[in-house]
Amino acid sequence: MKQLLILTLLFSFAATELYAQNTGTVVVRGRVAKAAALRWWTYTPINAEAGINAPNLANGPLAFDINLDDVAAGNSLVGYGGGEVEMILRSNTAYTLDAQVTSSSGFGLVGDGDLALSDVGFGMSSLANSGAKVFLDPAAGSTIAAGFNADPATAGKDGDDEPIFTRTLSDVSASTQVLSGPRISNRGGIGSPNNGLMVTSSYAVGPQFYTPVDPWSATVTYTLATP
Amino acid sequence: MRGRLNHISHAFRSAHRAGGAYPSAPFLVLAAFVILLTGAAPIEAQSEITLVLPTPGPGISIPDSIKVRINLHFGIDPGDGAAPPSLGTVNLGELSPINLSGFASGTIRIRIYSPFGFVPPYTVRARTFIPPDRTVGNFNTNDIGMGIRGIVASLPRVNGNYDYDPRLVGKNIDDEPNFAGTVGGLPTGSRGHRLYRTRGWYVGRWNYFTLVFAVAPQFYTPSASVDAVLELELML
Repeated sequence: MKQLLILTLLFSFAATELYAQNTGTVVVRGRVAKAAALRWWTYTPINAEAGINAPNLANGPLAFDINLDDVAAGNSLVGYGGGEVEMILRSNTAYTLDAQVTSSSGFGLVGDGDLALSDVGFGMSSLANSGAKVFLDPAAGSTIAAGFNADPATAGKDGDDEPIFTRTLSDVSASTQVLSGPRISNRGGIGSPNNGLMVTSSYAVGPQFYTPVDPWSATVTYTLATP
Repeated sequence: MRGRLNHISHAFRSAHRAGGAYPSAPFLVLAAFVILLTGAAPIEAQSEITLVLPTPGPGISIPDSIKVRINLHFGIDPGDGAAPPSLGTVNLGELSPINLSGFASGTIRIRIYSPFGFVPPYTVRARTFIPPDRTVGNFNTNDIGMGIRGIVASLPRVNGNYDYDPRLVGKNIDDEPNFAGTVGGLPTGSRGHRLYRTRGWYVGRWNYFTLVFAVAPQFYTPSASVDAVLELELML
């Protein structure tokens, strides 16, 4: 009788243990939107042109200022004045990069002897993957728009010392796609140095006897989109 | 003749309205703030697990039978044998770098109720149903840091992997967080990992614990919705 009681208690305990297991669920939910980022990385002057980003920190938002100073022939003895601004692009989907001169001052007409937007050579001179966290090979998969894949600082000149640029700022007086490509980043965040596409934008002016003007300036605005 | 060239990153014109880009222009900054508010604000839900214990009587020092129910809300009984009810949804919001906060995070506070004024020792286990997505670039459940905070119980002992606040961990150079425990680290088999267990009888009707979830915004593959379902199991 005592053994039967113990057996009954054991069965009862086992049944209780099974019955006591219960569950409930928690759903964790989110979304991942298309995203892209464009930031400044480095600057290399052709000669010793001053350039600074604000804030002047690599990977900061792009707001770069290059000062070419005097570009009058005779005063400036360099072949070209200008520099290369390296940007880092990141995206989790295909992208396009447009450029446009959104404001300018001091420019005139070539026929009047003035400095013109067409005197500022412009190009996307190089592409490179920043590190191991890129998605496949965005540098190889990206396409620079025709004519923009040249470094204006290496352009030849004609018999009048006038540069023979393939593209200038006059070609981006309206919003113009200069680069496009596949997804860039394989995860990682905005601060990662390894998940970006390094894009070098180059600007150059050949000193000539332009009509004097002080100052002149042009603002190029880049638009990175995820169509 | 002096000259100056300015470059600014304009914001990203995008056909994809919600997320086209990292904000650098005013209108996108505004958009980002909207997303920040919706995505980063902790969304706290409270659910309860109801323990229905027998009325202790003369000579009964421990229950001779125990019935456990899990309810979404107090007083609602899904019925024995019903499918596991949802305790709640934690919406982390935007998980791409459009979300400028360090972490997208959310919490859910769960309470365990005993109508008889005491709670016996118990164990809470957790499992998930789908293993982490190994597709390159995709968001997966290993990206969801999970921890347990705020336990109110008798002598709780927490699994070391989950005894932390995932919103407070550091990140590596690529902005990837150093989570100890994640949803993806939970098993998908029939038996879940123990989250915590208690080692004594609790005098009172309520026990509590909070699950904290966090995701570091990264350039994951875009997805309109990413879900992870976590099943909690309470065992006496």
